Amino acid sequence: MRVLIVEDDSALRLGLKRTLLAEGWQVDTVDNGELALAATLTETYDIAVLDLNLPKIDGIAVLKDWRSKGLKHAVLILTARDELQDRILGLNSGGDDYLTKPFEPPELIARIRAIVRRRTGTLTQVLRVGDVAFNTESRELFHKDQRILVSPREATLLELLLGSSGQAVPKSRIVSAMSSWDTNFTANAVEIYILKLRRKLAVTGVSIVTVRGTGYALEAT
Amino acid sequence: MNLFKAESLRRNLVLTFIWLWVASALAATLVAFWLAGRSAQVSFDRILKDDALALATQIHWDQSGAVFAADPNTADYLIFDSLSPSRFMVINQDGKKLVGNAVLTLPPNADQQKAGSPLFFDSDNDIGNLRVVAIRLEHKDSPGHVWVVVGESQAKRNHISHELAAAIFLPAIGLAVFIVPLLVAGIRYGLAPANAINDAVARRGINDLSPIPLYQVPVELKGLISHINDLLKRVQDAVAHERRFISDTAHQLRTPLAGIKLLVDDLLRTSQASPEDPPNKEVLSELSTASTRVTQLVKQLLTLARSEGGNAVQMEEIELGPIIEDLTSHWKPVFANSAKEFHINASLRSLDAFKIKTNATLVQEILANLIDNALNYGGDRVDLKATLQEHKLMLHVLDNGDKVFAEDIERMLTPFWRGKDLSHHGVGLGLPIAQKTCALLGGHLSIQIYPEVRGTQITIELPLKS
Repeated sequence: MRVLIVEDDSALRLGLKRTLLAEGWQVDTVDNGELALAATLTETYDIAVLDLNLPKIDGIAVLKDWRSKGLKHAVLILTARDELQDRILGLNSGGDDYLTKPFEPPELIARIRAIVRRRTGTLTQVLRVGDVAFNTESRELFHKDQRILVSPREATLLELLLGSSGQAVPKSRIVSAMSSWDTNFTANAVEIYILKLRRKLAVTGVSIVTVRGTGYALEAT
Repeated sequence: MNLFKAESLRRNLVLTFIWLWVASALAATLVAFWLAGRSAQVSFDRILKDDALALATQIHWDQSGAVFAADPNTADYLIFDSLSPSRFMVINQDGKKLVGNAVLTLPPNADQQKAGSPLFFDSDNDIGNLRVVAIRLEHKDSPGHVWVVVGESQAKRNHISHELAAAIFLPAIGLAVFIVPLLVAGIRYGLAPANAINDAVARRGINDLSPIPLYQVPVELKGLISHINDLLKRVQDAVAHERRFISDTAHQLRTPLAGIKLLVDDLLRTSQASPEDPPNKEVLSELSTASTRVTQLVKQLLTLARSEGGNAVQMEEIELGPIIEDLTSHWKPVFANSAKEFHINASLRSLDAFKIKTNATLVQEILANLIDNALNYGGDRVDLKATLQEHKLMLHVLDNGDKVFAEDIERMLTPFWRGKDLSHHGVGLGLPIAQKTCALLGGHLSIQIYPEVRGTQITIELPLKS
C-alpha cells in the first residue's frame, strides 16, 4: 500500500513516516498543500494522511481539489482541531475519516486499514485463494495451518495480488504500490519479488501466473 | 457598628415601618387622649358653672343685701350629681354663709375676678381633691356681693380620664396586633420579585452567563440588573476569549506532542527489534527540535499569562545606554548567523545617556520579541530607531520583509497567528506578548505599513513619566 503524508510539522511527519514504513507500506511525505497537489499529479496513492492546517494551500482546499479532479484515493484527515464543525467540514469535503492529534499509533494504523478496506470493498481481513490465506491485519501468510514467513514487501505484493479477485494486476501498478520517493523501485525489482513469492508458494498449490502484456495473477491449481 | 454585618432589606423595612407606625400611632393616640381629656374638662367645667348659676337663681337681692331664697335641701337638689356629691357654699362679702354643705376656700386673687365671670381652680383640702368654680354676683340695687362656690371631686374626672384612655389606647394596641403581621406580609409580597430574581440567579449553572431577563424585574431593580447583565456580557466575552485561547494553545501543543509521541514509540520499537543498533539520528534530532518548540511555546504562554496578570510593575529610572549595549551584543551574532543585518540607528544611539522611568527588564523583553519577530518574518535587514517627543519615547523596529496586508495588521496581534508561511520556528505569540507588556508599562504598541516601502515598522510608545 502506498501512502502520502501531508504534514508541515517535521517531527510529526518523520514519526508518521517511520510508523507507516514499519507496517511495510510505501510512504511519501510532503510539508505543504502545493506539494501535496503536485505529488498526486504523478503518483497514485491508496491513501493520503492529510493535515488541515498547511502552509501555502490549506488541507480542505487540497482535499476539494483532489475530489474535483476525480482522484479517488482514501483520505484520513489528521488535525489538532477537534471541534464538531471542523470534523463535519473535513468529512463533507471528501475526507474518509478524522483523527485528532495526538493519537496512539495503533489507532492510526487501524483507521488507515479500515478506510482502505471500505474503499476497496475487501471487508474481510483474511484474503484467500485455494489453501492460502493472508491476514491483512497481522500481514501473515498461512498454508492450511502452516505459517509461511514473508517480508513486508512480499506481503505488500501478495496483498495486491490477492485483492484483485483473480484479475491480473498490471506491473506498473505493482511498481507504484511498492515504490516511494526514497526507494528506487524498478520493474526488475518486481520480478525479483515475484520470483521470491513463487518459491514460497510452490508447496501451497497456488501459483503466480504471468499474464502476457498485462501483469500477474494468482491461480489455484 | 459592625460594617461587615449583612443588611437585610426585609428586616430594615419591617423595623422602619413598625417604628414609624408605633411612633405615629402613639403620637396620634396621645393627642387624641389629650384632646378628649381637655374636651371632657371643659364640659365638666361648664356643668359645674351651670350648677353654680342654678344656685345663683335662688339668690334674691333687697336693700339689705343678698338672701338665699331656697332651703338647703332644694339647693342640694339643684346641684345633684350621681357620680360624686357636690360641695357648695354661697357666702356674702362678709364671708357669711347664706347656704352650703362645705367650706370652700377661695384663692387669694379671687377678688380681682370680674363679677359674673366664673373662676375655676383646683382645691386640695381635707374634703379631698376638688375642682371648684366660683362666681361673684352683684346687683345694682343691692349693696355688697355674694360668692357662689361649687366644687366636685377630681376623682370623678380621673375616672372619666381612665375610661377615655381605655377607649383610645386599647383599640390602638388591638390595631397593632393586626397591623404588624400585615406590614410583614406586605413587605414580603413587595420583595417577592427581588427574591424571585435571587432564586433564579442562584439556580443558574456555573456556565450560564446569559443575561437576566428584565421583563419581570421591578423598576427599582432594573438599573442594578442591567449593570449586572453588562457585567455578565463582559465576563462572557472574557470567558469566550479564554476558551478560544486555551483551544488555540491546545492546538499548538498537540502537533509537536503527536510528533514526539510517534518518534518515541518508534525509538522503543526499533530498540526492542534491534537492541544493539544505535538510535536513529534523524529521529533524535527531530525529537530535540519538537521538544524545543514545545518548551518555547510553554515559556511564551507563561510570559503572556504574566503580562495579562495585571500585577503592578516596578518602575525605576534607567539609562538607555545599557539596554542598547545588551541589544547589540545579543542580536548582532544571531543576525550574523542567519546572514542578516541588524542596525541600531543613530537616533537611538544619541539617546545613550537618556533616562526614562520604566522597567528595564520588560523593555528588553518587548524589544527581544519584536526583533525576534522581525528576524523570523522580515527580510534580510532589521533597523532599530528612536523618536523622542515631549511626553513619550518611541522605539521603532523596522524590517524589509514582504509587504504586510492592511487586513493582516490586526491579526498579527492575535495569539498564534503566524502568517501564511509557516516554515518559521515561531509560535505566533511574540507580538501579543509585546503588546500586553507594553500596556503594563503604560505604553502602546502599533504596527505601520507604508505603501511605497517594503517591510513593516512596529512602534512602541513609552511614557516619559510613569
